[in-house]
Amino acid sequence: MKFRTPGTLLTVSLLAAVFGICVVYPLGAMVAESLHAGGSLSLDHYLFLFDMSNRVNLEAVGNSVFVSVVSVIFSGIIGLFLAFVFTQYRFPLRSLLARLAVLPVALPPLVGVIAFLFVFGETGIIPRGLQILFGTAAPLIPAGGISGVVLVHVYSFHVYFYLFVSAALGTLDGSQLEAATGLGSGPWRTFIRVVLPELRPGLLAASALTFMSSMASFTAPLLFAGGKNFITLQIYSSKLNGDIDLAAAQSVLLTGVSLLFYLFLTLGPARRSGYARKGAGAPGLISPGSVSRRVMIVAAFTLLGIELLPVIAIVVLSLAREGSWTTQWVPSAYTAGNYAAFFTDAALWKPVVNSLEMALLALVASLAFGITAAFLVSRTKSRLAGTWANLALTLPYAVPGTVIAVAFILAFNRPVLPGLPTLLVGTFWILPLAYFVREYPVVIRSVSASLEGMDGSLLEAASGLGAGPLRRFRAVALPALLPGILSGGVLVLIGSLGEFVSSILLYTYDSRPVSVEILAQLRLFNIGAAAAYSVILMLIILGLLRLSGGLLASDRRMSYIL
Amino acid sequence: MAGLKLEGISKSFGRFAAVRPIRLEIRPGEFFAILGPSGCGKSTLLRMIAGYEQPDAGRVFLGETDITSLRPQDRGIGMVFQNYALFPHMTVFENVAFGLRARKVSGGSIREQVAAALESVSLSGKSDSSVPALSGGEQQRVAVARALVIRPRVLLFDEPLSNLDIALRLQTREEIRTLQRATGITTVYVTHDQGEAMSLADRIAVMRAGEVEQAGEPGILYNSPANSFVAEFLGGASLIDCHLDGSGRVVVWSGVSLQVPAGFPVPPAGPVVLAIKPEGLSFAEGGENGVVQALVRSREYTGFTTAFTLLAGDRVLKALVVSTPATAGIVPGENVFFRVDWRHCSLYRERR
Repeated sequence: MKFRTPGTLLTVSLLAAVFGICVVYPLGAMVAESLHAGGSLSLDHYLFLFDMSNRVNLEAVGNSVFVSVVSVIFSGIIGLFLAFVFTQYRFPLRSLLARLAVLPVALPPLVGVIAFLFVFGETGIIPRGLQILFGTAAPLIPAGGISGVVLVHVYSFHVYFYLFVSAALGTLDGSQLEAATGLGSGPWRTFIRVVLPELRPGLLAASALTFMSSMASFTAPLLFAGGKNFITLQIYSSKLNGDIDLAAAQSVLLTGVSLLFYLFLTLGPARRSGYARKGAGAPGLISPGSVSRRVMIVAAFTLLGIELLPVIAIVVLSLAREGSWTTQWVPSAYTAGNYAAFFTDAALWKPVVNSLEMALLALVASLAFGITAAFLVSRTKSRLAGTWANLALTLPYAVPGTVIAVAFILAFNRPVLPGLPTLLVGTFWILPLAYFVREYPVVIRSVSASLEGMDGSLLEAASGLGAGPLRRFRAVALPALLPGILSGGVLVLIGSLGEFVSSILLYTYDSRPVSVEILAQLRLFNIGAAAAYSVILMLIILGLLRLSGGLLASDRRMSYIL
Repeated sequence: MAGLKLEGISKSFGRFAAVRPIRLEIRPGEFFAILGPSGCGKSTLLRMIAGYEQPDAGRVFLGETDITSLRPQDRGIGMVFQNYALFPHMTVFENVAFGLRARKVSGGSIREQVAAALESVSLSGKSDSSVPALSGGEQQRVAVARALVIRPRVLLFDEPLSNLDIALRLQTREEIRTLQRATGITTVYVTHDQGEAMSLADRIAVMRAGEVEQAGEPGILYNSPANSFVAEFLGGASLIDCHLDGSGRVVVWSGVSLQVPAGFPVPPAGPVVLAIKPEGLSFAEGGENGVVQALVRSREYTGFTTAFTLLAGDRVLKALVVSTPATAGIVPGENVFFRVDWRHCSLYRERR
């Protein structure tokens, strides 16, 4: 490799060092550990995983795979349906509701899951309400176990399908649909033969992403599974039982599956159609009958209502007096006390401040690393090298949070280099570092997407007009990249602020983040306090989203980042 | 063979009247062009014929049948879109077969008909190619084959050549004409290119701001434009606001006066518009009878002809003359004299 300037060489070395220490080293340590038993190289831990006499592990893998497949199917149906209604029909409040439809993506995973627990769980509002309504002995149709986990997954992950399909439908060429109609094709035939092939890349990408996320899902199984085993839970309990080697082997297994899907996601389906359309096509609208139109819009409204229910429930419960929600369907007494406490007891802010601090650290590191890396990758001469460099750099995107935690525990419970005496495990710094590793790929992806979208001739024109490198960057590149940087940065903040999966394995009491505090309050049955923390977290995130403007309004941008 | 009859159809989008009530009759087997600048409503008119837009008022007849309320697929119409609207994920064969499959034609028959359609557009060898792999001209021909294969009673083209480069445009234009002659299918062709319309069509309707300004054979439109818009748009005429004196035989503008020949049709005396086509001007010697002095502003040499922009009495005139050694000597900034051939002129009461 040739570097044009010593500055570039220095930057590349720095990036490589950061990547090596934060990503390669921990994951490598984890793989090494998983292959070690009794002081020598062995496959014992893996053999144990597939041991027929002890079916727990196999069962966990089976459950994870089953739930993931079912999650993909139902997320697909609902996401496709919503995308269809929102892009093809015009109706009042459409743009507002379309923005609402992506809300679950902005909801911290833990908050989403406990909200679901409150609404659909065994003692949740709806099963309780039905019990009281029909006078049955037990709550009716509570969600739990496998069905509960699937429900939570569909709630969160149908947004992937919604975003990818909306983006594809938005670029659909109206005259193709007209041509099909004119040639005698009915609406169904047109949908299957003409529209669906256009959606295929988006559907495949969303499926891969949903499968990956479902396999990596930890929070939903932890709170909702009710005794069912999942691979992420196995890793968690192996670690808690002190069997870190086994946790490493399980992590390697899970990461392998995830990576497979990640490779497929980035290299498999063409993200963009290579067929350049000529001339102006009319916007693509599929004309349905007016009756089915009405039915579909009502159905979409209902789905969005269900989507909002958990959020509303959390707000209501944050106003509940402690102990007022036992057998009632909703709390019997309300108070502002859960919030008032924050004004009298400054210590309550501690987890919120911790999360903000750690998220900001992760943000700064992610932006510095992500933007530089995206730039350098975009400057590689060979397209293939660029693709692979991008893939390697964004690898942590495919590594489940639980796995990152396990790898960090293994790697940073001893000095990284002989010269560095500090151990990171058990210190404040371990969490921001984990957040950084989990979130920086989003910055690379969003900035790369902006870079790809930028017309290269702009920079050539600027240099032809006499602008130096600095001016070119500031006056031409930056304005074009700013939306990408902004949306990447906001996603980093959102992800870090609500991070739970890695935090639960790595936190120290003094630097515990909000998510861990919420779970702690829940375990103490302080439902009101847990809900109040959740609401505060949601408000911060909504504020960030507002600040960033139409981040979630742009389906196309989101579908390139995810 | 069926003709088309439009009886007072109109269409508004919100407060914008895209097409004002239009009456047109397109004869069976005719190649009919709808010509107009962008935004004149020509595409909307075509889409109403195809059934992709519902007219606000009026009726559309195909032969004797009222098709106004029929769905596009029930009208027996084939359409070639401006961007071709080919299905990118299907092969050439599948694109052409699409309409037949939707009509539940049997497999063997599909193969035969698609082969024949591809043959007719000289694409026999490309049956298994993928659409993105084709050149623009080939994609255009696939679109034609796809529209023809369902044996429509009328073929519609929406600016089909606007995405091709000039050489290809001329060639494809000829192919479309040949194909239409061979099949004898009634054809409606929308374009903004007057050369395309003139060379292809049996008759042309010139549209402007949602209305048909004039309809008829190309030669009649060219030689007897009904108003100044048609003269300018179709014939490239220079329009000059001037004054027709009381005798009706002299037009005057800022110091220039021109004798109108006897028998030339004139509007009532007063302010009038004189339209002079570029070929109606020729250079002359000063001092000859009836010549006008002008300043040469620019010259554009294109080989066989040379185009001049002249300034006569502060009005701009375009002239197109056959290139000769003499014309090569005329340079911008020079004062020249020209003569007007009234066979290439017309006088109108007002600008349209």
